Amino acid sequence: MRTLLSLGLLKGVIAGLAGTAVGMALTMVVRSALGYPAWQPDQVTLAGTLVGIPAYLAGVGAFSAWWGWVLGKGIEEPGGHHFWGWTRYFGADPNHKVIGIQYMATSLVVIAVAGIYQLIARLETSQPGLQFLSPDTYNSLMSLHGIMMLGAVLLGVSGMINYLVPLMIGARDMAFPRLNAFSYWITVPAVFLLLFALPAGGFDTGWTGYPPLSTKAPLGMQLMILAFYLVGWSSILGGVNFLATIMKMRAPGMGLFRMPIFVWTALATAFLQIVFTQFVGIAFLMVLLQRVLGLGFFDPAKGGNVLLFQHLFWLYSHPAVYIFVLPGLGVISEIVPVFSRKPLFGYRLVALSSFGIALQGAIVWGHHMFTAGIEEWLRIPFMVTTMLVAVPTGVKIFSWLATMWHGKISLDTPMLFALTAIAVFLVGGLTGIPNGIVPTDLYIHDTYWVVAHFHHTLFGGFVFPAMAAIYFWFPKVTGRLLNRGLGKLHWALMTVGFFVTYEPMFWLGLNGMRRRIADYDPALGLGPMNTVVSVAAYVIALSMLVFFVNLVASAWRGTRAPANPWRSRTLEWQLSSPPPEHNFPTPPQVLGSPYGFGIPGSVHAVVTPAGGAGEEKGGLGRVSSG
Amino acid sequence: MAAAAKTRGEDRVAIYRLGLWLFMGSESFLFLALLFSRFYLQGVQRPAELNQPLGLVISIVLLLSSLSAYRGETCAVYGDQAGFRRNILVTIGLGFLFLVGVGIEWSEGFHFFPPSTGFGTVFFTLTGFHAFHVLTGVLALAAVLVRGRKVQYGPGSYWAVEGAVKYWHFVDVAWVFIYPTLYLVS
Amino acid sequence: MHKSGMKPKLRLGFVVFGVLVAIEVAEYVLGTSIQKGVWPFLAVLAVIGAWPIVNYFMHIKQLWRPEE
Ligand code: HEM
Ligand SMILES: [Cu+2]
Repeated sequence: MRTLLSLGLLKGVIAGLAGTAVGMALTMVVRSALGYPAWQPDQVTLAGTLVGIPAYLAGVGAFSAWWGWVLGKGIEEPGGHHFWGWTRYFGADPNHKVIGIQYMATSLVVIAVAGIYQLIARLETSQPGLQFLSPDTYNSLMSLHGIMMLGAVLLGVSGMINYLVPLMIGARDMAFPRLNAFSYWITVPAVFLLLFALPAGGFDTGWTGYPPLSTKAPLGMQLMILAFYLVGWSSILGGVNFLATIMKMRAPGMGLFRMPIFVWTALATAFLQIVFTQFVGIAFLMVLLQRVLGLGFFDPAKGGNVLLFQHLFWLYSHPAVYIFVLPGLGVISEIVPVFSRKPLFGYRLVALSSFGIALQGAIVWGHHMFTAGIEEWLRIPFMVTTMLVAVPTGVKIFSWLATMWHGKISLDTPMLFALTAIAVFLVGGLTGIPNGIVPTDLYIHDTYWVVAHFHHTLFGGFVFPAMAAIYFWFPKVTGRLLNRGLGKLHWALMTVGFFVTYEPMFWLGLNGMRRRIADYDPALGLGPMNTVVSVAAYVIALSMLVFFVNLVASAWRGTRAPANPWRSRTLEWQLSSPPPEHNFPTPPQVLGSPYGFGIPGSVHAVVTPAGGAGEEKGGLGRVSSG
Repeated sequence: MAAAAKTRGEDRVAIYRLGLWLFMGSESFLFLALLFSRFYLQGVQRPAELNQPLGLVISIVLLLSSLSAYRGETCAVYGDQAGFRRNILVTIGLGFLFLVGVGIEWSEGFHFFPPSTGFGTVFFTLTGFHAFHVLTGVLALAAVLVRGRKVQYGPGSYWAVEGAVKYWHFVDVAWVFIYPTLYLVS
Repeated sequence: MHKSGMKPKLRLGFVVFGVLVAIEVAEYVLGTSIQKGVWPFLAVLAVIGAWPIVNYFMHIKQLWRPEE
């Protein structure tokens, strides 16, 4: 009981709920004092969250170090913290490995919830006619599925970068450990807000939240906007941290062109995060201001224009797809050479291609608005810039293929997932071309073609690579191996389930199945194919179940992992599994490429092994020794 | 742990500095988006009822606060605690004066171009966001002052002051762009 | 660091401030007297006004030249 009460999370939730109640009560008092009816959902809940979230953060302990600093205490620098035990995962802990695990676990939980939402919605669309959901409920489930999945992807991206980047560049921690903890902890209320969105009436706009619909949608919309805003700030602050870490904390000898590709993709991702997230943040804030205070951004009667939202939204949300997928592509670039025992082909180009993608991604947002009534002359430039992305992504795909060519390939679970990811991502990229070409897009826009396309990019760029990453780095993180048989079962079910779910969606889209609908015309003859899709979706769910069982069972009872089970060369594998609290007792000396597999005499780095002067080793569930 | 930072050849202040610049860089895209919205929705229109003299005066007040902030930082760099405290206090006062000016403009604006009109929407949002940043800047300066009661700033140990003051200047730079965008274009 | 270095720096602050006020007043005069097509001039003036702050007050050069 004592331990339970000492958990930052619990203290935070209690403080947060109390703060929310106070904020809501105050607003209601003020409203009735001014002669308005006390209850106005948007204003009252907004005030509640404005008080509740800081209260919650204070309860978690995200502010205590800064507060001490203001009062004149010294600030603890990265690596000053010593405390072991499972409770540290439920409080504001500055260690990047703890935070990485926190992010990843949260991400998996959110993915599970969002997946369940869509599994329910898929039951509804498996046959024409309205089965058991009202159209509004269907739309809410579908919209929440979308936004929660994307939120989970952002969390997962932060998780991977947090855990891996400091290790890979030979740093003791991130540049700003406390800001790092703060960035994680503001995502937790976002998750709660999203969970509350459904009981609060949901919202029917899809994840994009376009006005004017979003200015009129139920309260759930507002909770979603606030959640988006919090995750957005987490993303921005995380980006600042990643950039500063990569630019300033590299070990001696770790020149930019000696960094593992994953670090390069993290760098490009962080750049996108700090530049573009602001645009979507302000776009959603404008919706909020219009809802709560009656401003006129998107109301033509008040001089507004709904296209403003779409511009700001896609100015972020197109680059955002690269925030979602770049780290995943980086994971593939890490895994393919290890399991092919060959150097990564075209290292320099691959490293720079991430930046090519990032820069190109900034100038294409209009391709989402071909049917929205933007100026005619803008369409062609956006179409041309869109096609350019083929160059940098092509570089990556060819690099993976050439790396595998004549390699000694071993089909271990991480490699299997990486291979599926490459195939899926390729299909996703190719099917995007008709979306980017004006005449074809006018036809397929807002159909299941688009749904199929972006699930290919997201599964190929994030989900499958994230699975590969978990199978690859789990031994490093926990010191135990994941069960290989269950892993391969997971891979087989998920791969088959994926293709059977999503390939038919292209056909459905071309044959007139619109996206974001609960019902469709039986005369279209789409029923049987939709049934196939729904059944296959449950196969994906089953595969995830296998995965979760494997995670829990292996973390608890798995075989002990050696330091470097895959014979990889990057720095994190030169440490014990799990790595020591402060990674490297002395900075490693980096001498060459991380990918010199099979090249005689090639050395990436010299690492002085940990474990000497009383350095504690730690990991999941290691109990405190005092 | 400062010793550990030394042995690793890390320059913590350089890292803090970079982080702050990255943060301000990100924030400047927020203001960029707001400025873009002004032109997208309202073109270069402006109502005749804007209080032009007031606009100029509060702009100069903000510039003056940047000067005192700069002086406060310089004093801190050279270890002049009294000068530091005096100048930062002046800065905070000028910051509040600026906010009062914005408040006056707001109360006039409510009559002539309320927030439910085209220009009002843009005007209140831009000035509101900026005023919020001024407020956070005041908080940062106050935090540095409070810390200064326990800690002596001086050569080699003035990052706290430098950071808060940099942020203050950033808020001023934002206003340098917002002011003509709202008051002067036509 | 000796206190004697402080005086010239404080004086520099006044100079920068003077320049900034001059630019602001120029913008004001332009904006309130001319009715059409001033925005390009104002944009240029705003950039010219932001630069001294970024350079002299915010010391942006420290980012690539730490010792100063
Ligand atoms: C079991 C796995 C999944 C299934 C069966 C599934 C199915 C679907 C379906 C059928 C839709 C379209 C609903 C409609 O338009 O009415 C949809 C939308 C969406 N899904 Fe998934 N999905 C799955 C996993 C994912 C994942 C992993 C992500 C992201 C990483 C994702 C992101 C989205 C997004 C962003 C939307 C758009 C929602 C909107 O239109 O606003 N989905 N999903
Ligand atoms: Cu796009």
